[in-house]
Amino acid sequence: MENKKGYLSTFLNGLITENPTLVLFLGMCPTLAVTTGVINGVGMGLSTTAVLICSNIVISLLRKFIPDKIRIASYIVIIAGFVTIVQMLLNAYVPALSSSLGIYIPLIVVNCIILGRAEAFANKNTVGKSALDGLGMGLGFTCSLCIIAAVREILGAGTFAGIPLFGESFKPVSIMILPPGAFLTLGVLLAVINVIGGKIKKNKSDDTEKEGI
Amino acid sequence: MKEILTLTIKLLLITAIVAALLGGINMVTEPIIAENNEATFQANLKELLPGAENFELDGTKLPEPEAGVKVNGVYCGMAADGTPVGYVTEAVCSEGYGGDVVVMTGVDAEGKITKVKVTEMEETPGLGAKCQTDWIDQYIGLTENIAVDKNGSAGNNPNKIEAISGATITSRAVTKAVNNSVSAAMTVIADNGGGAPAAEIDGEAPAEGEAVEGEATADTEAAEGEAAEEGAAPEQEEAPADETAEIDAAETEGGAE
Repeated sequence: MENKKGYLSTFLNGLITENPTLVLFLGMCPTLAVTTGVINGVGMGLSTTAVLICSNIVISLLRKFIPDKIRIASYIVIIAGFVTIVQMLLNAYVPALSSSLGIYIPLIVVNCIILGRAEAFANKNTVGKSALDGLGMGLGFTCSLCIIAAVREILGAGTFAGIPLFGESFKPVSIMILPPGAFLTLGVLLAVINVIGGKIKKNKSDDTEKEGI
Repeated sequence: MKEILTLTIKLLLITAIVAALLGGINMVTEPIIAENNEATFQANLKELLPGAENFELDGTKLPEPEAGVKVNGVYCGMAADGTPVGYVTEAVCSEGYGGDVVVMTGVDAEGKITKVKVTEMEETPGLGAKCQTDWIDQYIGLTENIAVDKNGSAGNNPNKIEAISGATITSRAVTKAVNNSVSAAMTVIADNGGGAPAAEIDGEAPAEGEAVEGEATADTEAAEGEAAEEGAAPEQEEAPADETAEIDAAETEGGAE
């Protein structure tokens, strides 16, 4: 029973409690760069998820083989190798997908979420849990990318996933689609999350205090 | 000492396995990727020049493009029976807002643009990236030296396009690539006397040349003279120029070419 709960909380941990973008502040560079449209956000998020699951599994399998002193070097080689293989396979067999994800795939290598999870989770946990952690973290990343991208795309271009939402009279705020828009959106989103998170924490601590009394 | 050795060997082992995997997969996927790229390129060529079936890289010496533009090549487009339809030029302009803009331009035998396509770019989404929407269709039907109109700056020059609002730099980069592509194509058209190079027709449609041969033997000299004259004014009479070029090729195979 406890084991099962462990798996679920591992998954939810990545999705909500330790959301990589909004709580851990990992992978900020792709977050700011690719969130100009919802489709980009989904593409980047899902390809990162795939690589994250695979690299977590492999690193957790090899966790006893890789000595501590050379772990970072080994992780980077494994992750970069994975990404390159994925890129070559996509390019050869699914050219349509690879042309739309083209520039994001190499970017995954430098996404510190992947190295971060290898270091913080996969090298200490079992294969199953590591895979789930990868899934949770990846989906958490995808969700936050989508939220930021939706705000930027709707305000900055007046479209959602490429579909126009407003009539001709709508004047898009083009700064939202430019780099400053990414910082503005992220800042506001973090403020909102902190307010909500703070309230939840306060409620919880109130509860524990009452229990204590 | 022993520890260093284990570390080295283990790291070597990991990198060697990854390298071997990468090499193996690259060997399998490389030809497929090259094939895919070629297929996309051929599809683009056909899209830009409707009616053309086969394309061949034209070896003519091209004019020096303006600074910031590189012309990758001019492709001669021919219909299924070997008659040239027009030219497609691929050019790269490095003056886009986000870097290189790769543009393919289709031009018919008279130097009129049939279609333009931006195949690669890194312009700002929502602004410069609009160069991949219907905006690009403005170029259809225009000729050399297109002007970029920004708030009426081009006056009543009919050979102009409307700049993308908020992305004048992108509009200028695309136009620069298109202008240089059209001049390159025009040079090739002038060099070939309005049709395809004789060598191509020689290889592509020998049967046609033979069919005309009987009738035309007597006129060959006159026809050759005509062809030379027409070379100077290639845009006016394309069809006769082709015919004479064919006779020329059939008659003087391996000779005066």
